Amino acid sequence: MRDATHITGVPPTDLLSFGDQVLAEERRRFNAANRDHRRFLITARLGVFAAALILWEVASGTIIRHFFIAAPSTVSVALYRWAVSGELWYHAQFTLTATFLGYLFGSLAGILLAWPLGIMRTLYRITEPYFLVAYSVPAVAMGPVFILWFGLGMTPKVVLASYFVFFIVFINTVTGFQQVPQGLLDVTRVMGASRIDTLRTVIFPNAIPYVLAALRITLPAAMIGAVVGEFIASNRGLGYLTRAAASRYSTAGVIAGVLVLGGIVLVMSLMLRPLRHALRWQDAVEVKGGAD
Amino acid sequence: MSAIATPAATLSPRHEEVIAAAAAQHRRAVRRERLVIRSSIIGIGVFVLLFWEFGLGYLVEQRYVSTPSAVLERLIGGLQSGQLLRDTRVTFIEASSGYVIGVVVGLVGAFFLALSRRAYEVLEPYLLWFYSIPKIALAPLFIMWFGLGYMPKVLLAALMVFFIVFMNTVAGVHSINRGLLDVSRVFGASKLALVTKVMFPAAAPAIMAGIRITFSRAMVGAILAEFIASTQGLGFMIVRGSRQFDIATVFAGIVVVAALVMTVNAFIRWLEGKLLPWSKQEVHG
Repeated sequence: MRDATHITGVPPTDLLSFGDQVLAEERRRFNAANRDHRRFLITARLGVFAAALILWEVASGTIIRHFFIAAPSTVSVALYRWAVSGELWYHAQFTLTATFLGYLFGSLAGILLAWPLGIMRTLYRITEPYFLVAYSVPAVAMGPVFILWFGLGMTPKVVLASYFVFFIVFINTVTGFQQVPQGLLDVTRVMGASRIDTLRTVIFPNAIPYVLAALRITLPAAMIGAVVGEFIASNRGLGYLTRAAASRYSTAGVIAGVLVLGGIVLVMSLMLRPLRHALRWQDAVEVKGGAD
Repeated sequence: MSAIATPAATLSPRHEEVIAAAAAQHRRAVRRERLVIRSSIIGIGVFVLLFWEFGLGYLVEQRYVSTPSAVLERLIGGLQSGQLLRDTRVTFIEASSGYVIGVVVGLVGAFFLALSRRAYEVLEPYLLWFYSIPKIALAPLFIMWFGLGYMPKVLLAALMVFFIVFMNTVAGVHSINRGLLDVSRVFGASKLALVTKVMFPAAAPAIMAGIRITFSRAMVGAILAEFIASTQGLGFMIVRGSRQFDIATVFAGIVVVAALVMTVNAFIRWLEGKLLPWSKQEVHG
């Protein structure tokens, strides 16, 4: 090794520790910059939040009439009253039950129907136009039909929630079954795999990420279905609570209802995060659909 | 068909005969398969309609399911009286103006946010919050604010469209190859040139995807607001039919809604083919 003292100013014996020093210095600088950035982000985000809240509080009642935007303090009072009187839990239990039942039935139906159609090419080509037509009917429009069929209780909400979920799960599962890389199919055929072997080892594993991705995005969709059902006709549930507040012209109540609904959807997406994590070895798949 | 790979000069007339026969056979098979599938499609449709018309009444009560002929009757009656066209026009105006407003505001908003990476980082969690709030939950609020007229429907439709276009555009802008940005910056591109010449063209596919699929969402917004409170429009027609236990009118309304959505979607696709012939026609939501 040639002596590099004339470049570094350090005798070659110390060169290793000199390198360590440079690295450590560099790492420190990088970490500091990172920390600064994170600190900036947190402060700025909190600042924006506080500014919006204060602006909202001050503007309500002075610049904008109370009727249009109830102040955050009024909204919190409304929320608190609901929570204390038990009204919130009473109504939430109906919405959540309808949501989970709808999610369960809708995704089960979607997967079970997509299975044969995804595997049998001809059957799919025959039924495809009908699914496309049915899919282009806005799911919301089916609300009055289900209410007419099943009355005002829980059933129409569960059915509507399932309907919201069904198409998204169905379409994505069919895609998963069909978009198997041709190379894999050819190789398994060359190696003498039977139809069942191909299904078990190639087609099903290929469909799983699509199914899980659809399951991840459809829980909020199920709740939207349930809430739409409650909007159209009901006497309980969070959708009813919000709508009832609107018909009393209680802006605070409506905003509180919207916040509760948004909060639940947020919690649901957080709950389903692990599903995405479980698939981190997979390339992200494109998910079709979504309803809100 | 794959025989084309062989140089033609080496083929004897006999070879060509065999190949032509095979190709003809293949074409016949393809044509036969297509015929089978098409006739099955039509067959299923006809069977379902006939069963609905004549058989379903024995399984469930007729008044719950109506008949195709009754639905057709409602459609023709609505056309003759002009009421159906009036309702369709109202809903179409609400949905399409909401759609246009949502697309324009979404693009402009994303444009401004794309100017500053820092602003986006600060606002990101709030945007995701707003994005995750079910927009339809705002329907009662809009109706309370703006009454029974066009306003709440247009606003709800616009809001439904806005977030999809906005988020798609922002995502498209952020997925740009950093190398492109670095090169343009090295060449001295101004911030504005960076946005208009690099970011938006690169994000165009994502933007178009957002624009292409959102008309049906505008329709959902308009119809839902009409369900909750209105005096006209297709949503009003459907919900009134449901309250009067007139399922034929409900189905007639749904048929018109579906036809409207499909027509406008086909139109948007056609327009895109004319304006941006190079863009990929894939649909993602």
